[in-house]
Amino acid sequence: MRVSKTIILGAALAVACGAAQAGPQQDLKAFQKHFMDSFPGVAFDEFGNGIYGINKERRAEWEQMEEFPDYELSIDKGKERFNKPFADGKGYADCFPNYKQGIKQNYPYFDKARGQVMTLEWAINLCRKKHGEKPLKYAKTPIAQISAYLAYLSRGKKIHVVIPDDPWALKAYNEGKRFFYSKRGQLNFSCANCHIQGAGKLVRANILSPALGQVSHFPVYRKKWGGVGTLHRRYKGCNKQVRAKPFKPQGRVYRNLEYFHTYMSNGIALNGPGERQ
Amino acid sequence: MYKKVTVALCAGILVALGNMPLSASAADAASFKAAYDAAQAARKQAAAVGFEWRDTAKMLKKAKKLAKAGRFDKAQALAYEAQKQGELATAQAAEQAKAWRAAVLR
Repeated sequence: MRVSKTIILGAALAVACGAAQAGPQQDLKAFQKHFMDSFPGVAFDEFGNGIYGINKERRAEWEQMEEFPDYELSIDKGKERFNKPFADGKGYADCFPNYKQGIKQNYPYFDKARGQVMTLEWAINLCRKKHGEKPLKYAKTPIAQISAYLAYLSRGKKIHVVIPDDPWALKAYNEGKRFFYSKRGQLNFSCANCHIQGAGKLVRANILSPALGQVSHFPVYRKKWGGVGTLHRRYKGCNKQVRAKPFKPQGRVYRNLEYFHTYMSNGIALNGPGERQ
Repeated sequence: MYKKVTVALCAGILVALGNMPLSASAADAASFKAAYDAAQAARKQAAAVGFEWRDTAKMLKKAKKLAKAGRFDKAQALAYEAQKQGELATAQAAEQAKAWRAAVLR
C-alpha cells in the first residue's frame, strides 16, 4: 500500500518536534503576552505604531509627519497602477475581486495547491503573469506602490493570518519561526535579539521596534529610502545590518518568515502604508 | 661588571634571534589559488546551510583583483580572512540549529 507523502511528513514532523514544541496558537499567546507585560500602559493596537506607540517623544515627531505624510503620493500612484488595464484588457481587480473591502489582513496565507506561503506581493506578480504581463521587481517601487494602495484600502482590518492544520503549512510556519529566532551574520544577531530582547532600547540614535505589530504598517515609506518599500526589502536591509547575506525578496525563506512574523501580530489593526525614518 | 652584562645581553639577543622563525615565504600565484579555492569552498558551505555572511563574497572578489595586480601577499591574506568567515558562518549554523529553540518565547 502506498503511503502518501503527507502522512509520512506529518509523522516525521510529529517525531521531530516532540510533545514539548508549542504550536502556533501557544506561540501567539506567549508572544503577545510578552509585549503586553513588557510595555504596561501601551494598548494592544498601539503596537501597530511601532516605536511611536511606546515612546512619547518620538510619537510627537511622528504625529507631525502624519500631517503631511510622504506615502500619500505612493497611494495615488499605486491606485493608478492598479486601475491600469493589462494588454489583454483584464486588470488586477480580476485577480483581487474583493480589493475594495480590504484584503491585506488575510495575507500571507498558505496556498495548499502550491504547498507554499502566498504573500500579497507574490500574488500581484502571479496576477501579472496570468495576464501576460512582465513581473515587477520585488525590491523596487512600483510593486510597493500597488501594495501600498491595497494596504490603504485595508486600514483598520485586524490581521488575520491562518495556519491550517496541515503539515506543509506547519513546516513553513516553523521554518519562519526558526529564522526569526536564529542568530546570523558576522554580528551574530537574531530578529528576536533586536525586536524582543532589544525592543524599546537604543541602537545608536534609533529605538528598536517591538516585533508585535511590526508588520502592520507595511509597505512603508522610509525616509532613508526616499520612497515606499516592502517588508521583504526591510528584511534584506536588516540581514545586511547584522552582516548576514540577505535572501531573495519573495523567495521561500522570506515568505516563511513573513508567515510567522505576521501571524504573531494577529488581531492588530492594519495601518499601512506607514512612514518611518 | 658592565662588560659581563653587555656580553650576556648580546648573547641572549643572538640566541633569541637564532630561535626566531624565518619570515614566511612570499605568496605567489599558486599559493593564492590554493587559498582562494579553500575560501570559496568555505563560503559555499556556509551558503549551503543558509548562513553566508554579507562580506565574504566581496572579500574574495577583492582578493582576486589584488592577485591580478600581482599583490599576492595581500590577496592571500584576504582569502584566508574570507575562509575564516565561511568556517565561522558554518559553525554558527550548526550552533544555532541547537540553540534557537531556547530563545523562543513561552
